[in-house]
Amino acid sequence: MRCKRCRERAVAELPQHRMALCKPCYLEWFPAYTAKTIKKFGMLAPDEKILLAVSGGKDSVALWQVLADLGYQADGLVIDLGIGYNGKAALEGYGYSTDSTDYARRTAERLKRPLWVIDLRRFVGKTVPELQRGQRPVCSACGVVKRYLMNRVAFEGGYDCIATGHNLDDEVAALFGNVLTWDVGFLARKAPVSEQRGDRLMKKVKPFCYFTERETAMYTILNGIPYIHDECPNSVGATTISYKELINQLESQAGGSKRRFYDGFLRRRPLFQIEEAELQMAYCERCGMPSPLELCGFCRMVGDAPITEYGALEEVRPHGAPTARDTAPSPSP
Amino acid sequence: MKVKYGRSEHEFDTEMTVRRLLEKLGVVPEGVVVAVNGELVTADTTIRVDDEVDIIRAVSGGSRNDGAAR
Repeated sequence: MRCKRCRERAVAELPQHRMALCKPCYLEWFPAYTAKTIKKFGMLAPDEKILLAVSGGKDSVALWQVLADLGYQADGLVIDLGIGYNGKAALEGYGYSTDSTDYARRTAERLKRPLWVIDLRRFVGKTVPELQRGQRPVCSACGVVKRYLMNRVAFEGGYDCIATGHNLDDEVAALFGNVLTWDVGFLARKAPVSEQRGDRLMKKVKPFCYFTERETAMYTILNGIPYIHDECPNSVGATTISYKELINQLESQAGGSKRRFYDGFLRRRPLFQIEEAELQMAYCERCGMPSPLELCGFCRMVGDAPITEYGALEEVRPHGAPTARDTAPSPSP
Repeated sequence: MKVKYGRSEHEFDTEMTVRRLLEKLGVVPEGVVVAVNGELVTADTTIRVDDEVDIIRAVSGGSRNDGAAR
């Protein structure tokens, strides 16, 4: 197979784009296509202050690299969730979450960008497996923690928006799952750009929403960017992964199916937004973050942890800089 | 050829294309990236008997909720 642009030997096959590219052309095409996606959806202004959620996985480290290459000022946020390789609470300083955090640190050091590091165990005294308490799937608890802290750090750190490395497979699998259950509220909110609501629910953008997982994996590998290859042990057998595998079978038989499904949804999204307009924005009585109930999901889950720890965010600090006790809450480049 | 796929390893003594190898292993091409001797390749690439193949899983994720880091 030959590169569509230069006719050299291709290394990256892109069925959804009906082309194949060699390594140099792929490494040019990938950031350019990200820039095109950012422009298409009006995601980012050149001077926006971006907080990038980094997990240490291929998508977030690739996105940080691309945003830096495109000239955006993006700081990172990584959360050590305290998950061990057996899926249970890790010993402090060991396990899957510690290794993921290290990959985020390595990326921050390579790009010379600030990284906020939150150790959940220090922040609220518990890890994600301990917060789960058997009442909900662990992935659900993890999602609550990540969404809460991303929004809180973005708000308190003075960022304009949050960027995440969600890719086309993530978006299509989430849509598929929520169509199966007809979760209309979720469908109304699902978008490449979620605009800021009120003064505390921060804008979110997904610049990789048009890339498949294969495409982001190929970019990180061809670019030599280190990332954690192990999957979260708690994702084994997760519903999302089984949806992704089903959708990949479909994509292998009919290239472009994911993109057609996603674009088709985006065109019809206004049909679901009637219910969203009825949602009222309120604030959590304990932490002051947005919540439709008296207590937000995070505060309900964390339970008895001292409320003073939330306000100070003392364990949040720019990587390699003094702690928040000694500095202003916002990291400086 | 020696083939590594996640934690499993396989050996084959005949050359074949990447596409054929994935069929033999029951692997959906869209969910993986294939490297031969450390270099990414396309599905039509022929793998020789003395090559080393790494099938890298691209699928990731756990929660179907929106908004968490990837």
